[in-house]
Amino acid sequence: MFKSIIRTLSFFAKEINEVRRQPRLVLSLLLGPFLILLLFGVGYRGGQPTLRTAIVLPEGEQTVSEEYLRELTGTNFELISVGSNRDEAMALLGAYEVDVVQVFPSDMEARVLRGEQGAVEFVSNQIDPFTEQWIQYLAYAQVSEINRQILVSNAGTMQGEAADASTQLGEVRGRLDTVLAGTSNVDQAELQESVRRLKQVSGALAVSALITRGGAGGVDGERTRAELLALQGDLDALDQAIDAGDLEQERERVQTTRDRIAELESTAATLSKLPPTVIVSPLAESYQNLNGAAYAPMIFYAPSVLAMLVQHIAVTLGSLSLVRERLLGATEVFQVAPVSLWQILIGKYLGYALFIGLITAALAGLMIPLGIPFLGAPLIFTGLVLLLTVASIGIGFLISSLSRSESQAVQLSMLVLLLSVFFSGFFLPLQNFWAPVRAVAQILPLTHGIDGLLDLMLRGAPPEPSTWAGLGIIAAVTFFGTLWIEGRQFYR
Amino acid sequence: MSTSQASVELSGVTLRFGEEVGVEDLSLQVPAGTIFGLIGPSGCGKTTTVRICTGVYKPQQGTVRVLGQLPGRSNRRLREQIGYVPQLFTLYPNLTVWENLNFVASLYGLSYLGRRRRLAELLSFVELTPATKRLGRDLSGGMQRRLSLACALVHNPTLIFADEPTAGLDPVLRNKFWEHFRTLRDQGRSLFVTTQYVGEVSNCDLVGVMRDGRLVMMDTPAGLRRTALGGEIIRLVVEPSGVREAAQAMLRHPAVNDVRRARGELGTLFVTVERAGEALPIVMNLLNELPEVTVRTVEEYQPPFDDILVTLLQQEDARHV
Repeated sequence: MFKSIIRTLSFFAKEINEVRRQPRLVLSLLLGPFLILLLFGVGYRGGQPTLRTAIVLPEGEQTVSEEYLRELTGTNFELISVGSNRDEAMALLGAYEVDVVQVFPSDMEARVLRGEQGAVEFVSNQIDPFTEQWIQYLAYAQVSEINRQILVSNAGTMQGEAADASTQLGEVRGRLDTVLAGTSNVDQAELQESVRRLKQVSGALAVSALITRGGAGGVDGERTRAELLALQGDLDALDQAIDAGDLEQERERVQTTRDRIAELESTAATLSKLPPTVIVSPLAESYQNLNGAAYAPMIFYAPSVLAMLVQHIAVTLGSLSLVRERLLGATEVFQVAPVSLWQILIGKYLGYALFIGLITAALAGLMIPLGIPFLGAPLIFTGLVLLLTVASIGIGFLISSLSRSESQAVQLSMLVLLLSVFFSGFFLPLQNFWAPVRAVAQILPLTHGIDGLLDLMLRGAPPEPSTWAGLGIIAAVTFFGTLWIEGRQFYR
Repeated sequence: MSTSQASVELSGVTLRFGEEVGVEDLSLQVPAGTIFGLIGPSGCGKTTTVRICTGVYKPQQGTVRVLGQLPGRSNRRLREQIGYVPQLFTLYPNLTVWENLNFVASLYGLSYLGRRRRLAELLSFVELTPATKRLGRDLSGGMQRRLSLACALVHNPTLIFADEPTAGLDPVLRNKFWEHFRTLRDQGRSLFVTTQYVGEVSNCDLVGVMRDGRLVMMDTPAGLRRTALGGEIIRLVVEPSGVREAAQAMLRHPAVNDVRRARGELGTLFVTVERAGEALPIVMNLLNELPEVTVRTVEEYQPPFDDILVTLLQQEDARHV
């Protein structure tokens, strides 16, 4: 038993001694990743692109100010050119001097009256699918905003009509009050004129979209429209009665009309006072982050970078380990010596785990001054990093047992790194992948390492059971896989 | 020789690598407490034989017994008794001499108690004490070999396998190595040494000659010489005028098997006898009776083993024609 421990520790000590004899390796493994992280943090500016834009306005509309256009197009479209020549704008696009050309339609009002929808044409020659997605989204957002501004403007106009209607209603109501009071000083001609004006205004109001959108201010659009239409009938009757000279006989009609007008007067006043933005956009968004705010990109990516570095260092060390022993001829010495493959592997695991653990601790120490939080329990952090290390070393050993040369081992390690960049969720969200392909992510220690460290470092929450399980399974499978493959050569 | 007295015993061992023969029908016994030298040209199967004996390879036919046991991965006790000096330097260039030796000591489960003294003794034995802190990659070829030998001895093995341990070394260093081997043998250990240097077989107690995976002969160095030469040789130098008479007189004597003239050396004769030591006085007396013959020198002649080996292999070829 004691001899067995000594034999296992022989490899532990050997690996530690070999690594510490390579100070440049240690320095590059420690400083290199830290500097990369620092550069990333300083340089990364986020995902929204700035698109160089050429705008083509209809003829006769170039008097629109650049300030207005900037406000219209937003900060993501950087104005490079504004003109009315579409061909010139397209030439700029073809020469890659702009990223997008926006062509605004002409005769907007006439199109609307004809029932046609005008199109703001966005043209690009993007080959990057992500930038294209951004252009399409920003185009939608810009056109939606333009439409909203148009509606707000129209609502303002309609509110003017409602205010006018309110005035007319008040005037006619006053005159009808006089009729009902029984005085003989009512000027029939003026009354008739008022009635006819009111009929015109209320008729326009009845068909106005403002009535429908007035629901935002508590106005029952359907009822108001019905009342306005009924008022039309009342005003027709009054007009005829005034013509026939028997207004006095239409007293009941006058009273009904007067009461209807009084109600509509209140509604028209309400409509004229509503803010146009509320009429057009009754709902606005409200956003709250329970954490206060999301982290800066450098901080958000720090756990992923740490996990990637742990995996890469472990895979690299592991992948070169067994193949080097084989090429050196040391494996033959081990085959003659009373040492088992178990003892060799476990000794190496211990040595590499200690070394990587020290590197990780140093990296974590360097991260703290950069403001990167470590909210979770230190013990859980240590356990997670250890399991990630063991799983990654296992991948490395598996590579090593399959490789016949050092260059082959390095190639396979690079493949693992490439797989990890694409399929671990480091840069590309896993949900964007087809489900069967997402399964690839599960065999990578980095996938689980990222999930676990994000939870631990940035949320202060312990990793999910699936994280521990994933890493544990990878560690076990790679260990026994290496034992089996290497054993077939070792135990010839 | 009984099995219990043999440190290594192979019987009808065959191992093929696909179509290629590694060793074919190999049988030999190495007595305990001896130096056994296995010689042969490159690729004849020496290293394969060593690997079979150490348990690295498993033969397809035949039996192998090392220290009376079956070698193999499962026999940990046997492996603790075997030391191995591989053909190539297989220790670590980034570790010092001490660290390499310490690593191998741990590999063999040596207790930490008393280890320091043991390692110091070994480094002194192989004369590497001044280079204790030197890295493996900074050692000369000879120092690397000595370190390999020290590593093979760290656990005090009973049987040591050394695969071409003197390859690439200068004659002085080679001699040093054989001194170490003789010392180890005198301590009661057995050594199984392979070599391409034919001349080194004179250092061995028993020699095996391999060719194309087969053991073509096995004998003591003196026995091999007798087989090649048909006896032992006396080199006789006389006045050129008396050469013919001397040769004829000796050929008539029953103690002499053969007499040949040396090419390019006037007056020199090579006289083949059964035992040179016994025949020398007889030859002297015979020549003294011949007044026409004036003897200049007479001595036992031992031709270089390279010549012996070539002769043996030629004889072997002739047997098979």
